Amino acid sequence: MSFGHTLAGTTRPLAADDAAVEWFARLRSDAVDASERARFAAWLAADARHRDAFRRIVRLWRQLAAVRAIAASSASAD
Amino acid sequence: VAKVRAELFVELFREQSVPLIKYLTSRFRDREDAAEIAQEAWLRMFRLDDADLDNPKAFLFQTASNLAIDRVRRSSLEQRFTDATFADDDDGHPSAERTVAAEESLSVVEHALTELPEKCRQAFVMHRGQDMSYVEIAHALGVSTSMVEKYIIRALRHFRDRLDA
Repeated sequence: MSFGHTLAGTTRPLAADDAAVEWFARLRSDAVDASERARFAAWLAADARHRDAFRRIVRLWRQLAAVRAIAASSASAD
Repeated sequence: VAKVRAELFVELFREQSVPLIKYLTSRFRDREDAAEIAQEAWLRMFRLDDADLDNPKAFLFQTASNLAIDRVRRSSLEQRFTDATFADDDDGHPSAERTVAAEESLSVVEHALTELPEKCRQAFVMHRGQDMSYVEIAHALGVSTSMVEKYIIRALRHFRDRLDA
């Protein structure tokens, strides 16, 4: 997994918003292990900007509940 | 102090992230709600006074409980509000505004969806709209689970730009 390396590494830190999206998507996968959880916690703990960025993604996700209605209507149209 | 706090957080997260989700899921049943509340509770751990750091685990679960109760209260209020406005057309003002806002955001989302590549769009709709897991989506689309994750990332970035979030 290429982005995992980028998240952990210090060579080219991703902008907080991009890292937040990647973490969000990673944590929704079925296979997140303990060390990855710890890395996420460390990332969150490291900087208030990380927490703000993560909060924005959580908010975006909530807004995207609209996709449920779209999925339901396209399913009934088929 | 900041360093100690960060270490404490990492330790707590490692020990409690799974138990907290389990606790919330057992109370709510809705996995999506439980995950959201857990995320918010974790984020609130950073606003702690040092006084609360004596028992961070208790604080975490208490915060999550309070958030959960708030949410139940809010959603039943919203439900009653909707019921009331649908029952009484004369007093439909706030509800009309809400409906317009909801329709606007629906059409923005709908349009943004059409701008995504086919499989990326399908993956996102399956995950956000139909609660399918990455593994299930990978199976349905004939791609790897890491590809599904990339589709989700790509879609979220796109929505972030389009919804100005």
